[in-house]
Amino acid sequence: MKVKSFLSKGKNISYEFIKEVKRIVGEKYVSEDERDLISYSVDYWLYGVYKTQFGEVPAIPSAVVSPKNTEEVQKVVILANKYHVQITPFGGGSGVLGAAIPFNGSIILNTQRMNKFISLDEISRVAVFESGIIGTNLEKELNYKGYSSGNIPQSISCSTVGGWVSTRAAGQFSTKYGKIEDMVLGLTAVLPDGEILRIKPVSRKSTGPSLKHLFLGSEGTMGIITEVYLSVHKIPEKVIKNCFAFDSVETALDMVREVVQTDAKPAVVRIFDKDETERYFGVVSTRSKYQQAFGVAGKILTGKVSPKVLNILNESKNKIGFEGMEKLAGKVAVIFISEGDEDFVFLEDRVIKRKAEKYNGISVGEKPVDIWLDKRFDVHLGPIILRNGGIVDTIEVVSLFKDAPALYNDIIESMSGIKGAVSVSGHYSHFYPESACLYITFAGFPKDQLKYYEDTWSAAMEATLRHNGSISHHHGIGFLRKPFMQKEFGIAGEKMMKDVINAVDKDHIFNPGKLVEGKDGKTVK
Amino acid sequence: MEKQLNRLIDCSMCPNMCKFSCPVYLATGSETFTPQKKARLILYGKKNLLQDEDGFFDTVFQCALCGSCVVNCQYDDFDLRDFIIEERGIAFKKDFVPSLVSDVLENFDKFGNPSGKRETIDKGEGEIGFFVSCNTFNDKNILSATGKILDKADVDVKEFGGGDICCGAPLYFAGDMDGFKEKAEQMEKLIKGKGVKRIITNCPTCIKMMKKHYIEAGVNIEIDIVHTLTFAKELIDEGKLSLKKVENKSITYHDPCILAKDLDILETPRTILKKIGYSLRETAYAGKDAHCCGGKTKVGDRNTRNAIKNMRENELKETKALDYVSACPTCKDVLKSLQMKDIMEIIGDALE
Ligand SMILES: Cc1cc2nc3c(=O)[nH]c(=O)nc-3n(C[C@H](O)[C@H](O)[C@H](O)COP(=O)(O)OP(=O)(O)OC[C@H]3O[C@@H](n4cnc5c(N)ncnc54)[C@H](O)[C@@H]3O)c2cc1C
Ligand code: SF4
Ligand code: SF4
Repeated sequence: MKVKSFLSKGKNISYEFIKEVKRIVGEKYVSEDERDLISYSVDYWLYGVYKTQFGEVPAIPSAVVSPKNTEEVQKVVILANKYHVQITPFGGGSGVLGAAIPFNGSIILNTQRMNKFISLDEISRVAVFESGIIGTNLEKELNYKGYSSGNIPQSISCSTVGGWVSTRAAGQFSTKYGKIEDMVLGLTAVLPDGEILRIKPVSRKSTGPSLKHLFLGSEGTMGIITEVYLSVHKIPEKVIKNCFAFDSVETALDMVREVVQTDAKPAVVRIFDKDETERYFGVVSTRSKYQQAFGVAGKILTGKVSPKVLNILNESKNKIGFEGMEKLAGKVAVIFISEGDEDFVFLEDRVIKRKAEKYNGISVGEKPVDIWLDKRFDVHLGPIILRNGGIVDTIEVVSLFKDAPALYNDIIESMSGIKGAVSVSGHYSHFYPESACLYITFAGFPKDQLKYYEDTWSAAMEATLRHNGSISHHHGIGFLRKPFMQKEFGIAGEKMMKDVINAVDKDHIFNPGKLVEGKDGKTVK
Repeated sequence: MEKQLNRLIDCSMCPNMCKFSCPVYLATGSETFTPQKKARLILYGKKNLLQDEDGFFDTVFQCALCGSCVVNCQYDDFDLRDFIIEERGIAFKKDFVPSLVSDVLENFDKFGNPSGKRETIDKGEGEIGFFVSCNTFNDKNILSATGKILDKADVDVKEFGGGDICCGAPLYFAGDMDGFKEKAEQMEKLIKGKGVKRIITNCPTCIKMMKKHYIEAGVNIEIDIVHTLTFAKELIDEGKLSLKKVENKSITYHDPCILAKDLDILETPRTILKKIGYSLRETAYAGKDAHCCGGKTKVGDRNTRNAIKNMRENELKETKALDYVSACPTCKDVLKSLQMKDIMEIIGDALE
């Protein structure tokens, strides 16, 4: 193949395995063709995506197998055991940590043929889906019947429910509806030895440690999820939107903390730092053009960036004017969406307004919320930056409220200090009574893309750990965050994680090189 | 072109934001057939990074040219189909013709149209031309319903079609760009010779070909061409057609891709159906979100085409409506297991 892999080399797979697996799933659904090997060679790990434009991919699988149901998956896994073939599950391929990249020449098990909506129990409000259904279609099927899952990640149009479960995904409405782990009631999975595990869909139980939770965030290391039972809710009857301007991230955090520490559960709560407030809402700023485009990092640029780069980043700014826009200038915007039963929504709205007043929040009305709703899936700038030689990515971490302001300041400063950085900004988008998730977006136009990328990630991870934060809130570990797992868990914790995974997957069949160091006994990269 | 090439690169690095809507992907489960992966493969083809040429050409024929990826694209100025068609053109020049398409091309060679030997229609007088598309030619019910509507409203038309007359769409889909241009020139001559001011037709594909792709091929027919549905709505609004009401009847309207996604005609058919008294039952995927029926010659692979058709049939069946209707003779034929009707037939039946 002319397209080359730069992270992990493939290996040849036995002719007998291919012959037999074709008998299981059908000739058409097993491929060793160039076009398929290329198409499953990378997920949305940003540095990997950056390299694809030059004809380089992280890792080429040995083959791609696409079974149509649990039974076929079971047979494929039993066969893989027989031939010692490793399997990397591939959902939507939207994971950003490289978790679905087929290391060690493993085969890809593509779940996307299993994409059906199975059933809806309207009495208990539980819906069942095959694991490979794409989020948008899952929502469309539910909306059609008057329901919603409440899990609306930015990647809803390109990620699968199986992927959500495997990465512990979080949607934009998580403060009310929770992360995916709060919605999954049961599941069906094929274990590494080929046994089928069916976890009953009930809300809570006391039957020992939760097997369901072993699959949540397992990133394909413990089995293939084929069906998912989700708790769903009626499409809300009442929606109220609010936006307030605050002086600082600290004040905004205090205000939101007090809201979520009452009984209020707004579906959407987002705190945008000053840079993101400017970018999202296009507010007029008195800052220099570099600072406007690049935020904090702009302070250290002093004209070193080409006009072309400046234009690229400025393109992401909102251009729609609205009444009250000036109230956001130099401020931190906080938006709320309250939804559900009308009586509760009105009450929640009162709580929000009371707390905003307490912290001198200036009301900016609904318009910024509408702008956000309009722009919330827009990621068009990413590829443009990559095409122009830049690097862009996002990092989400979580900490207790008491550590949040210090973590915010440290992470922004540490990441902005990396050579090549041009923009580092943040927002908070998932809240709990005790903690908040900080989501950083960064971009750089460095000379050495890989070094910039690795250094920036290290800076973010180290800053998070310094402030007692956890290194991931919802994107997961993949292979990229693996080196930080020991610091996250401590030696005992990391060992226990390895022991559990190795006990379930004794022969290291599933997803080599992910989640914990040395899962497959080999070091990748 | 450089801008478009840049967009192709952007698309190849997009997170596949429109993937959820691609019928080929949904019906096959194949990542390779998603819009973003097609873009990456096309880019690699251009960079001479691919060795399996047949596999690549097959990929560009794994597309229904439905436009879902365009409607849902992150970039307003990008149409992946332009690149898919360009590659089909290259494939055609290298004699790569999928089996599904080759029968049609044979007919074109022999009869100048996709269906086979047929009589030429050339009748009537008037300022409006009624172009009988190839698929309408084969559907006597649509033809007679359209005739009935025109008679009732006292509209005189010059009717033409049949014989070797075809808008050339199957050639365009197959990548035979020279053949397509020839057909476009033949059509231009024919239409200009008719001396009509406006053309109506039942086929959305013909409209798109004549309005957009002819111009790309350097042919401008310079005459307004509209769907018979739009024309019928005008007649209704002008009071030239009065419709009797049906009672207690449910109906599901299947949006033809080109009509909904390219020509933006979404409300007109629904308004007419409601006016006739039908209660509309939408599918979970309706309007611009409607999935393609699979068409006849746009997808090169028979299995894929059938899988798309089955998927759409199942979605439509979910509404459990009494009747099914569309506004494209191809959709009607492909989805015939649902006793699909054309909207002209529904209007025809409702005439007082
Ligand atoms: C533009 C963009 C926006 C994003 N926004 C969000 C967001 O708002 N919230 C969020 O949480 N994430 C977000 N993500 C990240 C990503 O979408 C999530 O991690 C998502 O859950 C991945 O799902 P997927 O189906 O694409 O899984 P993949 O990327 O295919 O796989 C992820 C991991 O799960 C494993 N896996 C997948 N399916 C199965 C299965 N059926 N059984 C076993 N293992 C499986 C894979 O092996 C891999 O380890 C975003 C990504 C992008 C590109
Ligand atoms: S035109 Fe339709 S079938 Fe073709 S890639 Fe786009 S969405 Fe898929
Ligand atoms: S067609 Fe548009 S939305 Fe779809 S993958 Fe390409 S760039 Fe992304």
